[in-house]
Amino acid sequence: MSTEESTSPTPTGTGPGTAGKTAIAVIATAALAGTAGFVVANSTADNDAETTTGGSGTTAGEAATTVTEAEIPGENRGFEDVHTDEPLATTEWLAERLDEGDLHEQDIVLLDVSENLPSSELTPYSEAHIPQAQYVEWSEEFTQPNTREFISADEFTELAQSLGINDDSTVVLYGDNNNWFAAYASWVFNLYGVEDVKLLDGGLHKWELYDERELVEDVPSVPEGNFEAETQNHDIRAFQPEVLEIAEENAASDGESTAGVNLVDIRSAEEHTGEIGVDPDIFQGEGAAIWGHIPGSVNVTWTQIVDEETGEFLPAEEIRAIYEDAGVDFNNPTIAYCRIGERASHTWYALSQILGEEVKVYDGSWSEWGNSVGVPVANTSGERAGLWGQSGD
Amino acid sequence: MTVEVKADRELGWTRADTVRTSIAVSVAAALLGLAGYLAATDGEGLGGSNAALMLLIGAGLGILFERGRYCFFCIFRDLFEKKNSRGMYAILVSIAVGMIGYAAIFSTRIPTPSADNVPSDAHIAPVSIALVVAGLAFGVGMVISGGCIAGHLYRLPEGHLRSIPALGGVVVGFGLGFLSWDFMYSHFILGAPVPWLPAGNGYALAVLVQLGVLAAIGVWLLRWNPRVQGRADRTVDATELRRLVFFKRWPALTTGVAVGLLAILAYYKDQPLGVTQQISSLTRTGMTEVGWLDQFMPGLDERLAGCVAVVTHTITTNGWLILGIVLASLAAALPGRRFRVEKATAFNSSTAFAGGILLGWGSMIGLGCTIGVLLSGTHAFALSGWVFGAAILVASGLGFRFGLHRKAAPGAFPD
Repeated sequence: MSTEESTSPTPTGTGPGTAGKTAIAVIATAALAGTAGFVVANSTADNDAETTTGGSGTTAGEAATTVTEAEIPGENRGFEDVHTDEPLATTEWLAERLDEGDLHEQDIVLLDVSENLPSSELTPYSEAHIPQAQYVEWSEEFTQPNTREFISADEFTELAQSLGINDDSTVVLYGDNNNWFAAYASWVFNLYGVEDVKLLDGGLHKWELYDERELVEDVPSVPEGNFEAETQNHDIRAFQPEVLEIAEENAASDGESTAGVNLVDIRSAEEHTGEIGVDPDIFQGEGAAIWGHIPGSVNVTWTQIVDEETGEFLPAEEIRAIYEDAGVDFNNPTIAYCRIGERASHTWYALSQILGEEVKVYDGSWSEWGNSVGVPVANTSGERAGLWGQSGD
Repeated sequence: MTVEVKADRELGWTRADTVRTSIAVSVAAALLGLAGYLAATDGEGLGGSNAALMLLIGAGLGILFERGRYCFFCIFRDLFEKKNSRGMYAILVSIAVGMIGYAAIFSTRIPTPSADNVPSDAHIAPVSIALVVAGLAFGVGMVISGGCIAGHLYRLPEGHLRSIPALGGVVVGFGLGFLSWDFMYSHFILGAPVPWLPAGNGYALAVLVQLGVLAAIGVWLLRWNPRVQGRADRTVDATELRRLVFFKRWPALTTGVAVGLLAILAYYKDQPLGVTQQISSLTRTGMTEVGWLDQFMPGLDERLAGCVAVVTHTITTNGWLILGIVLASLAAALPGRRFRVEKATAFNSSTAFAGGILLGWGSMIGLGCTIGVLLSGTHAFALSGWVFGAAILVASGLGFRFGLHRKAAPGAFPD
């Protein structure tokens, strides 16, 4: 503005033969004013609408942002479609439904989502499984190849329809290892808008070992369903920038949880303090360069909220008391994390589906956090641990 | 000065020169001693590790302001009253030099400038009607009081006694500024754009455009460039050196370049140049403690860049900068016999006070003065610097045209 003002009165003729000079001055002034106008207009235009999700809280200009801005489609749909009246199916209930005949005629879809560790004492799906159950491979079928992200909504539609899921289907999930991956799957199903998702309480352990119920080899074939996936519901999924803001606030308060969001760490107590890392021989790909926990997180391992014998979830009020004792304030929302997100889903299931609280899974978990440059980490083991520590691994 | 060059008169050396020079040397020694102390203690509790540096930068500015007459009041008065634009070139050059240094510093800190990563420590402020009003008030206040805030700081040691009521008025003006801040902020400043020229354009284009504008202004101002009279042949001996360093006004280009370099150094090591932060902070602290102000001021305490007042109980690096200006300009003025007590009367003191109020209010609402917003703003490629500068220029142009400076201080200005 000022620039044009001060330059616009172009030199007028001050002597003979100045017409040419005047013309040049006019053109030069016009060009300058035009460029200046363009530059000024450009300088405030929000031409890049992407918001910065760095969330580092540091002063712009003095810091670089390390958290990448990968775009993951989704929306915030709230918790209405997520929370379920009866989130748990008992083995008795399932046995009754099976006695009644075809599950798909009752609009029930039964899915086995298991980890199939060699150490498991449970029968793998390929050998025998609960009657009419279909198998879903948690890694290959849910995720994009060579990318740490779930399949797209369209691909999820395809998967869900091939499993016979309709809009009003009840999806019952179970698996080995205390339903870890079944819970993970239930979270993914909710992420894409499947409304009625239940876990078989106690999972395969309860069915096969505790109840000693029947397993079969038959693989069912079901008619194609008509379910259409929605875009991801990011009200139940936390990403690193969001967690980083919380972590930085907590870190600024000496690791106290002051950010108004509960962080729940599902991993073992030693992993939480940072005393040990992940055994790479067993859990390939889950390792982390840094050991410890996200500042301000409380440590409640998943084992504390299930009955040791049956593998079933404890009664809701007992679960609530356990988390409150650990320091979770249920007036605030909660974010759960573990190593890769599957045990966090188990806790998500307990807190969100059983207790009805507002909970997100940070599925990046420690395998993202503990390998990220620059994020705050609390290590209460008293030692410098991890790749740059004295661990010796 | 250069308009009426006569044969150089003999300088001689009088008893008064001895006294003046001794005082100047003592002041300089005190200044250096203070800097040494601050450096040795790392400015512990007294502004931090940059305290000594900023004191010395202030000293440099004081010398340049005094010896180069880098004074917006004097330069604009020459321009509008005497039709002499020569001083303007010092301003133009200081902007050009400083902004290139700023561009270099910015480019290492923010490789791709955008509207999202405007450097928050540089003086890049919202452009709103409030900024224009502030600039106009500042311009009028400058004409009436006989200097801008930086000008008063360096002219006071020259014996310009009106600077005392003027600076008192500045403090009152800051206070009024604080009281009217909420209104101005919520009505005009909140939501106003913060144009930063490199954003979306890159540094090169921003530098080129500003250089183009400066060059255009420079070419245009040539029309008010009076003839230079020659000086007799001379040898550069001790007397000539003494004359050049202490008596003659330093060349505009040299002064401008040096101011620009100091501005770069100040921003690189500490913060952009500005002379109001410490004064306004002390005003604010005082008012807060008396209970006239809320502890928290919306906008001011959030994101605004400039010579923003913070509640402080200690001297900041900005305070050292100001002290450096005052002491060094005194030390620089004395050996050149430039210390001359200008008479202060009840009338011209009260006008200086009134002008000071306008200066203080304008620089509070505008978030800085001629140094903090105009100079440091244009250095940082902020449109706010240009807008504030244009408003001051317009207001002071009208003020000088109507002879407000003469009416405010009868007899102070020779015809």
